[in-house]
Amino acid sequence: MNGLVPGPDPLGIPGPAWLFESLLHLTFSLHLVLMNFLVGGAVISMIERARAWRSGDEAETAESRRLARWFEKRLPTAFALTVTFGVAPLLFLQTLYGPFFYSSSVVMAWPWLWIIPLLLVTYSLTYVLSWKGQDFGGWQMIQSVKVVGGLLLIAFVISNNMGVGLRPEAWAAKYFANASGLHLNLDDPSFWPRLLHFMVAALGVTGMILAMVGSRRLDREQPDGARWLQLGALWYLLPTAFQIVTGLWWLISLPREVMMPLLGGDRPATIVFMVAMTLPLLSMVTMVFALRARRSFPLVHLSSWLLGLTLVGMVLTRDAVRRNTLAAHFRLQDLEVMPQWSMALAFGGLFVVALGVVGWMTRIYLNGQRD
Amino acid sequence: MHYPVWDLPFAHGLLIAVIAVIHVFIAHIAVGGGLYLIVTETLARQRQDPVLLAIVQSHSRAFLLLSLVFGAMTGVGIWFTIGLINPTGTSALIHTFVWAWTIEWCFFFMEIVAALVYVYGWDRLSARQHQTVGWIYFIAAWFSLVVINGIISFQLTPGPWLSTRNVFDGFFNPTYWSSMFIRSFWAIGLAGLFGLWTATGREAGSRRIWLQRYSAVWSLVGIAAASLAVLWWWRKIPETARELTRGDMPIATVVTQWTPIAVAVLAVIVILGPLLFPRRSGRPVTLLVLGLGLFCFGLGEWVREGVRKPWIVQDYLYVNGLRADEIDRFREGGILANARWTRSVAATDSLALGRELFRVACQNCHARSGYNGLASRVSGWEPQYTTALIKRIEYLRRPMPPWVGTADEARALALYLHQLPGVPSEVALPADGRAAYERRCSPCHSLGGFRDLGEYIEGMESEEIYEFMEYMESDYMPPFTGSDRERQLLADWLGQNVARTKEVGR
Ligand code: HEC
Ligand code: HEC
Ligand code: HEM
Repeated sequence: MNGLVPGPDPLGIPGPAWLFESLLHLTFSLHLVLMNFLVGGAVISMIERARAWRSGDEAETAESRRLARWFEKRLPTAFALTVTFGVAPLLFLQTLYGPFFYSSSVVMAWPWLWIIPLLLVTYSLTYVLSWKGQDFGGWQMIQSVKVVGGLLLIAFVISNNMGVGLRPEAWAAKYFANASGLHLNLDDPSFWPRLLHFMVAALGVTGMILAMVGSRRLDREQPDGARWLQLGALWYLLPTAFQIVTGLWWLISLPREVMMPLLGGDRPATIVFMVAMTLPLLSMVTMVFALRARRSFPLVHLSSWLLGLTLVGMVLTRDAVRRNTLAAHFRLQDLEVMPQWSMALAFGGLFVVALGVVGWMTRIYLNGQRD
Repeated sequence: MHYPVWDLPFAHGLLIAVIAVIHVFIAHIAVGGGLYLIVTETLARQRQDPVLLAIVQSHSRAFLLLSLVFGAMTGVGIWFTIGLINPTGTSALIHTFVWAWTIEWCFFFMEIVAALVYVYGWDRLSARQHQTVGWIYFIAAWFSLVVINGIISFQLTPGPWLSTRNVFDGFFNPTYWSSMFIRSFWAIGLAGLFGLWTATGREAGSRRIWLQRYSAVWSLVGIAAASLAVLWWWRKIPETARELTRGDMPIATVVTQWTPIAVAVLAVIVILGPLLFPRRSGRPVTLLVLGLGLFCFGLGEWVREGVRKPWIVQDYLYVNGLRADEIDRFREGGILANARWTRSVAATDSLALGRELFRVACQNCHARSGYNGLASRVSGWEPQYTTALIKRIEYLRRPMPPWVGTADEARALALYLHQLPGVPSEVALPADGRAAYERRCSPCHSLGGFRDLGEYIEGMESEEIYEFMEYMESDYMPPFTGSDRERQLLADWLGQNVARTKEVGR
């Protein structure tokens, strides 16, 4: 037992744990997709921008420019939505795992708080790049690099906090050595593989999105279709293949009592994990076939669904890791449930309304003529 | 008491104040500004005034940056900050109101998307569609204020929730409606101030004069209506909170007196500047009124936060993370036996004990030195006296949670405070009787106000007072720990002057 872990809040949770868990997984999966597009888009547009900046070839330069601009114009919106869909899981995380989340946040308070200026600056820079990025000079190149750097730093800090939160046994040594909130999680063997796994995933998912857009364009005979499909497939396949390495590294860096449940110890968790490792293989094969098919869109589409399911499976696996890691200190069943059904229902109803309203606004926007 | 305390070199309150005031200020502009935008757009379209419409469009871009970039990101910032500064309080709010927050999130989601579609959609949407999106933005933004207001006002007046634990009782609490009107009208007032920004900019062009007057009317209406709502709110807050601003808590008293003055000055400048003499008024005046608006806002929020002390949720949870129903348990074994996140130190190492105690019991509100620092407070006291005061800390005029530690813990804490840098080890004799009074009695008594000392010693001669101090020790009063000379000085002064003060007062 660890004397530091605060007890669960005596006010209980206002609904069954499974409900909050489901909402956590749902909103976190959406957060990840959006985050992936944001980070991957920033990296790919940075690389395309660098190519356009350096390359002498007229045609090639124009192609790179178009792709960089396509991403750059979408980054601010992706940023706003990533944050919006980050707030939601943060809410459910605090509801279920507050004692771990708050404690680790205080242990690493300064880096954690630094996220705020980082968000402000990076978000502003995405607007700068979106509004002033028509030219491809050195100044714009620097802004692009800053955006990527800012995003990586944010991810770095968040991953540190999620990691410290899972290590109550490490809290005392950190906090009592220095209570001014200047710690990180770099002494955790699973830290780097974990972060790497998330960041490489971002490239793969963005590659997939690019391939989707490319094959749609190809279908509609819009420009750049073939190139974007190929480039997207490449950005999807290479990082995703590399994920086998980063994933395995993460797995073996976990303590035995956390790793073993995933490898047979805990039947449902093992099944989810195994499925989540098989699906990307299928998805990659499908993508390879799509590149050779006469009409690529259906296969790319299928491949993306397989990837989407992989992502959900991995989110569930990450959750199993969390549950098993914290098992000695806390179980969700220990939370006292004091349901507020009318509030939950109001939320459900409003959520549907919000989806409808947002859907309508998006539709009229997309249907409106382009400027 | 349950969570780790972040050991900052300055008072926690400063951090919260900076982030919260900026965020709340912008968040209110984001709400009122939504109404300003859509009403002004409608007006421009009705009048078929393309110039005005173009101004609204350029205003909307600045507005997007302000509300999405600064508003939303500092909003996340508040979340992070309150979780760091007050985990127990944040947890209590989350566990009571998580559904309210999910509802708020739905509005926030609509608000964000509507803002983006509105700003990017000027050339893409039909006039009707565009106006509809504008209204969606405003309604969603206002409802997110409506929801968050329930949670914030709950902290000061949880009302029936305390016994029922019913979320609706907590949400629609006694100050819910008055706060909602304050915030809504104030949002309109601030939107007018922000409108002045565009009105005095280059983009305003030929509409400069009209737009200034128009925005000034918005801000004056908002400020006036919000001020009326404040009076209503004032009657609804707990009597104890009001007392704090009438001398019980000196700084709250001063701030409360200054707030209406600052608001009045703001209104006068708006009237004399953009409303009456828009030709003379420009960006400097706009910056001035925006700054004043922020200042008034900060004062107002300070009062709201200040009068809630020592509670984070009135009558339920103290700022230092102690729940009201835990007092007995803590008192039995002491703080170090019950609080988590304390280092185990030898019982003989008083200094180390004191450091731990300071962190878990006091550092949520105090720093070691500087703003709200304790070093300067205990300077001029002797450790014995500090110990005695710590044991009775809830009787001080300042709003502090009760002391739940043991006598030994109080001594260790006092010892720790007295070895902080800058605290003299020798205590000099006070210069005169008044200074002795300031030192020995004023932490808990006042002259003519709260716990009026004159009343307590009514009719007593200096001699009797001197005698009284021999036996003054009680649950709520410390023993007299000064020298005999000091005691004589104080007794003389009290006997001769405080009685007279009282006669004058009658
Ligand atoms: C709820 C927040 C809070 C907590 C917790 C708290 N204080 Fe205070 N304390 C205050 C405020 C507010 C003041 C008044 C500050 C001012 O007037 O500038 C104050 C004033 C003081 C003073 C000066 C009193 C005077 O009359 O000059 C002392 C001494 C003091 N606190 C000691 C402590 C000690 C010791 C602890 C920990 C056991 C503690 N406080 C915990 C809020 C708190
Ligand atoms: C730690 C806070 C504190 C300090 C310091 C303090 N008092 Fe009091 N005093 C109180 C409280 C609380 C009461 C009771 C108020 C009540 O019951 O209405 C009180 C009551 C009294 C009474 C009424 C008789 C009684 O015992 O209830 C006298 C006389 C008095 N104080 C004198 C003094 C003098 C003189 C000083 C300075 C030398 C002083 N007090 C310092 C808190 C304090
Ligand atoms: C905009 C840049 C952002 C990036 C690049 C980013 C990236 C990430 C990454 C990599 C993770 C996984 C961390 C891990 O488990 O090791 C993560 C998780 C998370 N993020 Fe973000 N994030 C961003 C913004 C935000 C914001 C603004 C919030 C909240 C307001 C947020 C809330 C969360 C939460 C709550 C989790 C963990 C969910 C869980 O543990 O179930 N994110 N994010």
